[in-house]
Amino acid sequence: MQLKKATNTLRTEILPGILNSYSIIFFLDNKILAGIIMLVSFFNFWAGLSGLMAVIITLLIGHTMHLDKPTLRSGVYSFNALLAGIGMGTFFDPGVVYFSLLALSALFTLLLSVTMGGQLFKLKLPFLSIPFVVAFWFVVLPASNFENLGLTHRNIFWINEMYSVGGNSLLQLFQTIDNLQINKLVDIYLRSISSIFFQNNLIAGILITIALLYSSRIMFSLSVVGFLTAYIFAQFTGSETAIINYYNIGANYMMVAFAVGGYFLIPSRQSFLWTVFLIPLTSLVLLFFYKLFGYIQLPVFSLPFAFTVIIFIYFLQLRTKSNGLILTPLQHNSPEINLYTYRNNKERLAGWYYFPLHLPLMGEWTVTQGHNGEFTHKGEWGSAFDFMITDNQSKTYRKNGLICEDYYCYNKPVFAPADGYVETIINNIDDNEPGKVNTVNNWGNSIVIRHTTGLYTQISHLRKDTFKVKTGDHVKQGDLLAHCGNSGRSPEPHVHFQVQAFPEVGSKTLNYPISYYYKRNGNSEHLMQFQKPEKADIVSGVSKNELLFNAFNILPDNSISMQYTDEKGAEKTENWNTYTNAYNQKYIYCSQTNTAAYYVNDGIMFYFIAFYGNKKSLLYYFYLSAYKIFLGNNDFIETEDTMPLYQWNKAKYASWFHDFIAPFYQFIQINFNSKITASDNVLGSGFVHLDSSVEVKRFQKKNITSQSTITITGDGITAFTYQSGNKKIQAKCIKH
Amino acid sequence: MEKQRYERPIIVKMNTGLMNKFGTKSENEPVTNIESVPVKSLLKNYGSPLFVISEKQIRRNYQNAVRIFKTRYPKVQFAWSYKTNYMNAVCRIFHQEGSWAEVVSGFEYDKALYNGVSGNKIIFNGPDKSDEDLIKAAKNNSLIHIDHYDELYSLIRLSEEYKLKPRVAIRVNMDTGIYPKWDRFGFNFENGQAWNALTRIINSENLELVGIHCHIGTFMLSPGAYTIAARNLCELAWSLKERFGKMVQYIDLGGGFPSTNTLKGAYLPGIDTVPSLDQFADAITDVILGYGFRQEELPLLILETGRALIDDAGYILGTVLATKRLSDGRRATIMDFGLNSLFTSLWYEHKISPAQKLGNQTEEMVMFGPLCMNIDIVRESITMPMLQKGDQVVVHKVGAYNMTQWMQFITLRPNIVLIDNENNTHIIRKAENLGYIQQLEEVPEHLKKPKV
Repeated sequence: MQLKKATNTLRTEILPGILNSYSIIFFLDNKILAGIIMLVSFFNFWAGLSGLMAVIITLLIGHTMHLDKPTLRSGVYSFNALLAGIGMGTFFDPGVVYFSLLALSALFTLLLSVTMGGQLFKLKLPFLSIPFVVAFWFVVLPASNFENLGLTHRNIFWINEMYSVGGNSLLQLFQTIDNLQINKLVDIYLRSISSIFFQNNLIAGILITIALLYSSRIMFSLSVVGFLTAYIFAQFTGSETAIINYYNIGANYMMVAFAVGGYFLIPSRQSFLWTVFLIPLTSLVLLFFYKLFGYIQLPVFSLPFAFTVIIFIYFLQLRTKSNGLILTPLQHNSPEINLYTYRNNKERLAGWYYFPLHLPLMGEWTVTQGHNGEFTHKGEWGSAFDFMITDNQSKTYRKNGLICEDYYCYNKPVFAPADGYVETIINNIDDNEPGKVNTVNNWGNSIVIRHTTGLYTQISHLRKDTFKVKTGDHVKQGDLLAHCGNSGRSPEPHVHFQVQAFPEVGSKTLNYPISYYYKRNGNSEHLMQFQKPEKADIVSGVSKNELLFNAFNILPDNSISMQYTDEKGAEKTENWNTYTNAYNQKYIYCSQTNTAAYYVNDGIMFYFIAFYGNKKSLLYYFYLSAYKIFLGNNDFIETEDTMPLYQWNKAKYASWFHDFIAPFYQFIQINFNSKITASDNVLGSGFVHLDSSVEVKRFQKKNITSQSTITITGDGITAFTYQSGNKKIQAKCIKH
Repeated sequence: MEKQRYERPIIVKMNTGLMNKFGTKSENEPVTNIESVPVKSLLKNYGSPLFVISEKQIRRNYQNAVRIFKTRYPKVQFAWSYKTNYMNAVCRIFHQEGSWAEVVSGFEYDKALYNGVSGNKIIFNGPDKSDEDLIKAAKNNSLIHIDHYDELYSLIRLSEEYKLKPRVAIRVNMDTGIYPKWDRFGFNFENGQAWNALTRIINSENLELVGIHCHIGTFMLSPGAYTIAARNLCELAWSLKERFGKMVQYIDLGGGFPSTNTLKGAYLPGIDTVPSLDQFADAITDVILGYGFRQEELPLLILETGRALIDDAGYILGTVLATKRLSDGRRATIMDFGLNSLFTSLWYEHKISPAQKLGNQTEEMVMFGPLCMNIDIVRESITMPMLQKGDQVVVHKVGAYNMTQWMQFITLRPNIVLIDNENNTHIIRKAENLGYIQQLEEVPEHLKKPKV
């Protein structure tokens, strides 16, 4: 039992931690890259072994001391040990003293990492390779006092070692490649990359470059940009000998490029540009540190990189607006995923950050004054709406409009725009005759609702004695509040609606959108999402289609069994479970395929926000089929959305090429579309058929790559099919 | 220059009664066009008399009613009352606008299906539903509104026999303070019959209770009656929820909203006395919204409004056949339409306008229909200009009930023309001819050779 637990920890915690310690050096999360770096590190056998041992020691200590498991698993606490280990293995001879020193320095990097992390993470700053540099200093200076620790000469005689490992043939192969007559720049580039791991040979450089290219095109581009900028700047300033050596190019300049160009910032034209600015700056920092630490005989290593990047990130955080240069909001350890996710979410999750407010009205109303309107919505009170009801001739009243009762909106009920508490009610002002205004009691009969601290809504010009709620009441969205009147500064009956940050009637307004509403356009309705109605818009609230809502109201802690026929005609079953994470985000998880799809159902819209795992699983096909589904009460609304390129299962070579230029221009776009094709949905029974499709748009050319249908009945989502080319998957739900 | 029209001289008795503020001017503005189509050309092209329906007006009425209710209540559904006017074209306009169908017989049910209404959007009301009707409705998932215990028992029996799961509601009758009390349809609220029926449905295995229905009367002039009706239905719904944990999905308040026609015997014209649809909507929605249901369990509000949506979209155009003086000296005008086509002249003082410019002099007259029957009177007393043979008139607000209750009696029924949104005219029901009338007749062999 004990053993089983230990092996399990080894498999699920230690092993990923080891691999991630390798790949995280390039700010990536890729097992193949990790494997190749590990392999390359073993070119210098003792260095490689030392690195691996240091990582393992760090991780074991971390686990024994119960450090945060996800952080350990991500390699954040152990990559500095790896660097220190490789460094020590490169410079010292192995022996008993050496290995005790290695263990101590591994422990020291961990202590430093945790300490620095504890301080810096709060400021959303990384510690980068500082623990490695500092730990190394603590080894280098006292090293001369340890008599039994010898500096190694193996690096000079590495050919001997190579011979002893692989014999003559291996040696010859190595030498042939290493002596290849290649372009000088390429040669420097490859050797620089290898020098990040204290090596100086082409093969290591080539292997790492290939692995880098495989795991991230953007990182590869950045390594080239970093390299070239450093090289050209050195030529330009004539400081070549001092600041250009393989190690500095690799561990400082390229690292700056990786960190600034692709990791901490969303890759973009601007992030590339800043990379180009920061590399000369780094060289200045480097020279300074080089001279300064030279007096006390300390190597600088990658300190200049860490220093420059940390102050730059802190600098960026204190901006008041982030135009184009965006700090990565959620780190996926891949510049491509960061980029595509950000671009995608920027539009589709725009409303996510807002508290959903609905129109406080029922039926179709016309906006007679919008934000910053020409009559009264001015200055700090500019973000308000006025609503009235109009007829086919755009008239707001019948007969001659001389009495309030002639106005269509007069005495119409007004409802709570969202849940909250009634903060204030004014209910003592009589209605004006049409055409007259009351400038003493400007707002007329009003109600202010507190939705959350700092978010209030105010509705004004209500009719006296029609309030159905009182101060302090809790109201739910859609609860009847009062009736429309003509009190206050209101020449004809209308509803004034505004969002504000303070509870007083008539506080200054907030520029806040309405979550979902329809806008009439001729005979059809357009769904508006998190926008602000404008003057003359005819708008109405969106209520949910109970059948669709219930079907997609996938609650946590349930299990769903799906039976399907795959492309080969075999019957299979996939079991899904639903959970929530600590942030109360809901997801569907399939343990058979280790796949998770995160979703949101806000009552009006169901949409997936993230997908991790197997793109051949049924859950993935469901993700593609139901990427975004409108749950409102209008069968004619087509829902459109875009999908990040990396989530698309048909992204192959073209998208590989696309990654290179994606920071600057995106020519492939993945569009999703869903609509109701048949609906017989009366009184919560019946059925709805939804069709959805995924379309790829390359430049201007559009191609539909897959089509799906989803069948929904009173029992929920009963079946779906996914078809792409000849491939057809038919799935049905056998257990909810 | 057009030849001046001759008007016969009249002698009008001087009336020296008290002065009144209404004066003596009677409204006799000629109506020469319907939706900008000249009456003259309509009569010329389609014959006299002629029913005319304005599509524009129907849509206007419907949209107006929808707006009135949907700005007050979140879930509203109208169901077109077929018996009010079941011309297919008319029904389809309503269905296009989103209306369901409300039918009261197997015949109307089939008609609704023919008009493309899917089964689950047909409400089947009325006391007359045969076993076949019930089976068909249940199979189509229609909403069956049970009228009496015998129907309830039939439905339970049929659902077992045929393995059906009918969706049902009951019709409830109650005292809403109006006279006459309509207690002949449905189950009574006050004496507990309705609750009893609901309990039986809930306890039956196969019947699915989806709603509660009432229809408190017709041409209702008091919004207050609807307040009472809505409150009673809410009370039933609330009790069901409390007792059985089951919330009904809809409350159907039926129809009965008046048009602006003037009822016989009314002192003032309907247009001034009939409450507006807004007042009825306020009465109903205030009760339901304020009853205490949670947002998400608020029942769908179904309305089976008929007359108020169609009456003013229908006209009958006719021609004067003759004028004469009666023995008591009153003037009489004989029209080419009467009770047979204009059934509602038994209920209303229909507004009738001349279709051409006539002189300013008016006289009081009786307006008769063409039938050779004493009861055939269109208006017992109406003040009109000097009508002559061949003059044309327009009768307003005849869209409801006439085209369903008319009689083929003595004469044949005329054309019905629809004026569409672009003012094009379409015949939606052809005038009858002898062949049509005799189509279903059969003469026994021994009578085939008349001995004349």
